[in-house]
Amino acid sequence: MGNIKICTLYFIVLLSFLVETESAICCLRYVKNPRRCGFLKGYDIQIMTEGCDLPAIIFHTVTGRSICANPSQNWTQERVLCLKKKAETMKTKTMSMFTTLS
Amino acid sequence: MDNETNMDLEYSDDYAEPCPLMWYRDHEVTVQTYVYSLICALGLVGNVLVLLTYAFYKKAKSMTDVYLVNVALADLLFVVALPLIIHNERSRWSMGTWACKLLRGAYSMNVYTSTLLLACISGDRYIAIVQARRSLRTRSQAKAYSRIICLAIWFLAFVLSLPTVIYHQEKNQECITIFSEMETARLVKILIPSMQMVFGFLVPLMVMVFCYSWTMVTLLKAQNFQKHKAVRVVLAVFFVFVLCHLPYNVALLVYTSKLFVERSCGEEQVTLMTLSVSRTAAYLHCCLNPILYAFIGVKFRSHFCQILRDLRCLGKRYIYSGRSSQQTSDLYVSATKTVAEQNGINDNPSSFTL
Repeated sequence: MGNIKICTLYFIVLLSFLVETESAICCLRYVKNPRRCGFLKGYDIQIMTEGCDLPAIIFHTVTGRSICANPSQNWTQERVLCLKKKAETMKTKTMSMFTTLS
Repeated sequence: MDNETNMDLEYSDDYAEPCPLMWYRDHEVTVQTYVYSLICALGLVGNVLVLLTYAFYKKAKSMTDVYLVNVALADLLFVVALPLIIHNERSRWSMGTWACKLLRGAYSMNVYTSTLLLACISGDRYIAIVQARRSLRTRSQAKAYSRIICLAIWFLAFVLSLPTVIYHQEKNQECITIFSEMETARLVKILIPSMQMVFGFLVPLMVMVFCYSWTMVTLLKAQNFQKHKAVRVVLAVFFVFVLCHLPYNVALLVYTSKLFVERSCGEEQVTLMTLSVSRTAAYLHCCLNPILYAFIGVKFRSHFCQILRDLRCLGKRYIYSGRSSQQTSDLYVSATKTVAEQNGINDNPSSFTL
């Protein structure tokens, strides 16, 4: 009889765990054709030392999509540098703007 | 911007987007909940009854008995951990890193101890039946050997589970493997499932195939009316083991063979869904073990019936205490009659006085 109570308790515990879950998202393949830097607006890094098993650079495009690029290819690293330069340029312009205002 | 949009359209067939790996969970969650609840209930009741029977009624007299106690213990520990494992598999991990390590380790330990001990049971039956004459001499020492073997198996399971425990951590409310080096990640991500396939399935399977094959051959040769039942038991035990564990290990092999190479999103989603479903079947084995191994034995069933009879005796004691109350009532009635009779006697002198 005690076992039945324990099982009922476990069942209730199980039900209380039923909540919506976020999906794990990983790059599983790489895009074949390089994209222009102007088409990209940011990037994330996927490392293989955690939940995913492929290393990847995830570029975010101006159309709101994400594409997976092979980090060992030259064009990928060039785009990362390009995006960093974009960020630097934005930083410089922002500083200039505030300087002008003052 | 138009130029960039055209760029997007131009490469519409070359879009490697991140893949949502666990899309199936929402669809599967309801079914799995009922199945897991059933596994918890049956596994808990079955394995507790096995342990109770051995603890109070049936002393472990043979090697198989010692193995069965350990199997029941391993399955019971897993069944207790299962609700928390389920929680981990479908919602945010809220219990921190150590719970992550322990629960992953609990599952790993159960796989190894349970399957390896079942292989030992097949070995014991092989010795008992096929090597019947030779084993008579060493039978008295066998029990001590079985205890040593059980300790060795628990230790081996612990060692094999260490990589799982060491590398699992909680991060962003997920219980995942985390490594400091890429080479370590590559090695361990292959090593963990490979060890599980080899020591958790292939080795026990080969031992079972060898031992039960010879057992079957010997039983079929014997001129014995009981042999048909024994053959059916052997076949049932073997096929249930294969049915429960083979699909999961095949899915695990497919999954592992595709690591670190490019593959399609749909392909990976199907693989992971298959892994999840077949893992449920593998879980099922821990609540079938009591039925397959323990309750099949005639002696074990008689001891189990003894438990039921003792429970009825407890019930009868309550009835007996009720009867005791009735007896007390009877005494009270008798006493009342005595008093009444005394009053009658007092009335008699009045009659005489008249």
